[in-house]
Amino acid sequence: MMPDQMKQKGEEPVVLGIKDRVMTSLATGVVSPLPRWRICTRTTVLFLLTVVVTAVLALLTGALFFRLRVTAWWLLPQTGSDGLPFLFQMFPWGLALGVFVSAFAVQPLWRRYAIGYRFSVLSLFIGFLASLFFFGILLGRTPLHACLWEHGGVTIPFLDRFYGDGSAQKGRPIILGTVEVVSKGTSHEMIVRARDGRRWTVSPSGSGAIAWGGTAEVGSRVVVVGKKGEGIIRAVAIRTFRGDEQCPLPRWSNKKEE
Amino acid sequence: MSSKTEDEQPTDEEVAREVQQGQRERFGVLVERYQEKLLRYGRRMLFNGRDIEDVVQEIFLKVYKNIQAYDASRPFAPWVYRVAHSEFINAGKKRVREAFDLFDPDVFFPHPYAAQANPEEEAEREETKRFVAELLEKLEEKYREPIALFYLEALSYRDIGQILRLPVSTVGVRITRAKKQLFALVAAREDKMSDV
Repeated sequence: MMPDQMKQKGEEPVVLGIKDRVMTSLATGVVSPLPRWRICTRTTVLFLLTVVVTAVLALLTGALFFRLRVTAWWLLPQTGSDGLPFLFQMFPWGLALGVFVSAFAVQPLWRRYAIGYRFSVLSLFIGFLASLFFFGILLGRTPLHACLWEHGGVTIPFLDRFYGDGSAQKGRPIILGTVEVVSKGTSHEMIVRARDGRRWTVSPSGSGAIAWGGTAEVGSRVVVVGKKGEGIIRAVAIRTFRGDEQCPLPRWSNKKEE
Repeated sequence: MSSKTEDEQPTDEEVAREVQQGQRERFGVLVERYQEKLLRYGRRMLFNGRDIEDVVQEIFLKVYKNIQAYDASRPFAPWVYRVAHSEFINAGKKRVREAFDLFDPDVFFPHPYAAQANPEEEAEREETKRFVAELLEKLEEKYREPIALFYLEALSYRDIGQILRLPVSTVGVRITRAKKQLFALVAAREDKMSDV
């Protein structure tokens, strides 16, 4: 017996008890070391889970921003279109909840890694936002955006719901099209040719003001959210895109196009 | 514990490597070296918790079970304390608090704080250590653990950050605030005694 042990035994017999119990458990095989392959597998699975949850968080946050941007909902209280009740009604609560839940799910996963706890949450959050902005700018300044635009309405997994004609937001459809005529007066009306060739007169909804996501010019491409009437769309929100962007990729076809 | 002792006993890392290689009985050396430390650590974390000896036993069994996950090129102590920290949290009632770290301003904002105690702080270390041992229970909960690990377990900011999963700057801020609380408590106690 080692001197240390004797000392400990004399002063605190319970201390030796712990060692005895631990070593007995080891000797009887109650506990055995996990093999390295299991630890590697566990680490890999956790790493993949971290990547997946982070990707889901980034995607949901991007989608949330995109939805808000497309419909310019955040401008509604300022422009007074339908005001706060409309904002509340149209706010993507599901997406926001998804972002919230993902943010909580990703935190303990990230904290397993040095990068997750060596930096403050704010630093990580700013880094995350910076990445989103970077990819947002990349999306807006490269042909990728035009490609998504061109192929909106075609079946693109997941993304088509943000760019596609088929998207409907709480009963208010999104119409994609190109601006042909813009009113010179103060009526804010314009004529938009939709993908299917149909022409729509877009005018602000009843309350007058409209949440504009940019300046509409002839040739601009627009996303219009509003109520459809006979050749008229009463728009509650409009988002415009530059008209000179072209997708270098060939337009692929699918059943929807046919 | 990573440096060799005077009579050239193997370091914790060397012993851990032997255990990884299958020398099960060598795990007893690690138990001997850490059992008192973990009991002490447990008493500070679980003032009214479950039987600390049982928790410490579970910690050792968990350490042994996961010994292959330990990277022997890194210090052993922070790894053991990390396992212990998790087990004590599971055994205690701090789990709920940890889940809300996101809203802790100490963790949320970056702090321009020195990454390690300066020489002046080192000089007052012994005095502070005495106060920590006496008044630890009276400190706010989130300050207890970092200050106990720093002054009583003699771990570095970096190691404490690794154990508590906190940025090193946050560890520094918490220790500084804990010291302020501590000295305020000491001053209050001395005032009381002088009144008597």
